[in-house]
Amino acid sequence: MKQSQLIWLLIFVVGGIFLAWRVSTTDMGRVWHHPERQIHQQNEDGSWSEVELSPSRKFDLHDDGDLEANQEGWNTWTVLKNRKGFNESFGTSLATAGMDPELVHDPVAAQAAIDGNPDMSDADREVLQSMALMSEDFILSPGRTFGLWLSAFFTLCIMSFLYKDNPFYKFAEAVVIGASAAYVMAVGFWTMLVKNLFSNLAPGLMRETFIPGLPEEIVFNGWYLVPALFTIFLLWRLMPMGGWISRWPLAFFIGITAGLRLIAFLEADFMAQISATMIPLWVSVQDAAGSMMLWDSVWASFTNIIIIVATMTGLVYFFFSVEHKGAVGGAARVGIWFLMITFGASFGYTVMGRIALLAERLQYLFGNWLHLTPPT
Amino acid sequence: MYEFLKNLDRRWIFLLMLLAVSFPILGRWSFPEKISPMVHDVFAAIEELPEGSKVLISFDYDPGSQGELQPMASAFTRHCAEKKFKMYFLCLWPLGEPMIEKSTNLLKKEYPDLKYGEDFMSFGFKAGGEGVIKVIVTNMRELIPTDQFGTGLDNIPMTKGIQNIQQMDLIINVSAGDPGTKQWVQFASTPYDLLTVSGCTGVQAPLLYPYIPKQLRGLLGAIKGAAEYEQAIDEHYPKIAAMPEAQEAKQRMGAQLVAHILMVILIIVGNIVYFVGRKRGDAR
Repeated sequence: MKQSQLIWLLIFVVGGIFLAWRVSTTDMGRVWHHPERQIHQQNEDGSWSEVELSPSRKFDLHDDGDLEANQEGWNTWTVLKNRKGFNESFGTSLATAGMDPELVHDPVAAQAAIDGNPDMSDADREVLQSMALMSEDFILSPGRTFGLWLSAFFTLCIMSFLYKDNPFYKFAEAVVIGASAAYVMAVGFWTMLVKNLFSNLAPGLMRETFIPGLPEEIVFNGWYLVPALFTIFLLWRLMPMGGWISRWPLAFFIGITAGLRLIAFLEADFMAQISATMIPLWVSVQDAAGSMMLWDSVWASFTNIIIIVATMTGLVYFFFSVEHKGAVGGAARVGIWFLMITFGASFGYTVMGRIALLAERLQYLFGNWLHLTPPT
Repeated sequence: MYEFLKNLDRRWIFLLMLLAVSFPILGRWSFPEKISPMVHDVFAAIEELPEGSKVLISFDYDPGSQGELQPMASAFTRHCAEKKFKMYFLCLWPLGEPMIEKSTNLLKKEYPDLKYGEDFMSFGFKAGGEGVIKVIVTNMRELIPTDQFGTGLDNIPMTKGIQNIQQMDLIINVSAGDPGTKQWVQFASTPYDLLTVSGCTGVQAPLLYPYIPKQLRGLLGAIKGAAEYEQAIDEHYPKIAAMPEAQEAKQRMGAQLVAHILMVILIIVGNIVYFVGRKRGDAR
């Protein structure tokens, strides 16, 4: 075994031992949750709105007997990434309210404090009730805990590519690609085909099935048969014969896109940018009293001059009808310098972006998974 | 030493970088930020609008860029909530809907008084890229008859009278590529003179600077722009300044600082190794 392999093996073993120690001694890698009730009430106009509930009704579950007419009740889940964080949060609330933060560990005492103090403010009572009612019924969420570990596992699988290509990386890569493609297809179906195409071709059916809230003004629109037909044409490519027919909708899309982009570029990138470069070489910056601020004026003028010089010399560099010699060659060389500075800025920004991505993943691993820092 | 550095396995550099980013995160290092004029312009564009203004917030990014863009998306959401704006969320990327959900969850948790449909709502994802912008800038109902959850726009109080996005007082775009800020500038901001601000990934920032200030009022460039924007919000809203979860970008800038110092050292060392090798006549 090579020395470097030995060192990397050591790192992995130490990491594994650390993980086992954290799991056995702390709350790490577990997600807790608590069910809470939401009740929605039907309004006179037929729409639904949520009913405000007191903590005792919100967290007192398993009893739907008090639902009134036209009310629907269902449970949602309060999710805690870190149970310790929950205790700290309520501890802070109790301390702010001038109560003993230790009550957070003792729901019975908290309830007794509520019963024994009728003068307690509504806000304090709500904090105590929430804590008393919730902390009794915290349960480990197996699904969310599994999701957390899965997420950490895939993150490490992808990062393992930095060591070298391996089956874990390949597996994670395949899962990401497959899941993303399926997600995009499902979202595309519901947002484009159902909401835009089917709702215009069969609005009644959509109102009855997938989109009850579809406005009544939307009626059958025959124009939408054209995109429906184009969709079929595009998919015709998969047929053994007549695949050429998919070129028609493609030609249409390419033509439309080219036309749209041409106009947009002419307006926003050509005309507007020429206009934006027509700026004064000398800018007089004045203070509130109307007198000129010399240093600010010089700086603003310098900025404008740089913009004009950089634009002109950059254009000269891309002007190939004249040989880059003499004055033209000098201007082109200055243009190259400005281009290089732009590329350098772009590269620097890219590095910053990649480090930000790494920092976010590490924050997730250290916070949500390992509980070494507060969860994000 | 020269031979050691010349033959150094790149994986040691990866490990060094991992440590350089890890320690500031574990130590929760963050540093004060100085607000640059461009970030100040973004802040001012939002701050100057009156209470109740309509703001379209388009999250055109996906989980692949959230490390860079989520802090600014959250900061935009908090700022708009503090200003009591009407927030209309939209995304042009299929994986953008979970990003909207992050912001609506933030509003439900930190601003429980705000109600869906009255203070904020989501149009969800719309496929078609710049085509979507081109349509909704003149006729929103044509392409978006319902919100993300299938409720008709006339049944939602805050969208009742909305016919197109020209009725918006401000467009905020968080962009990771195409479609993104460039398309909003080309199809909405420039032709219809709509007030637009943006936050974007670092890769895009140098390409979008030429749109400032006429076509784009201001731009948050990458995590640095987000950290400065958080600083600007903290200075005006002490309640947000006291929230650790509202300092995400600033905390990531601590890791950036150490990682960038390491990068600079590595570049210098790499160049020294190169020049020494050239002097010695190494073929590589």
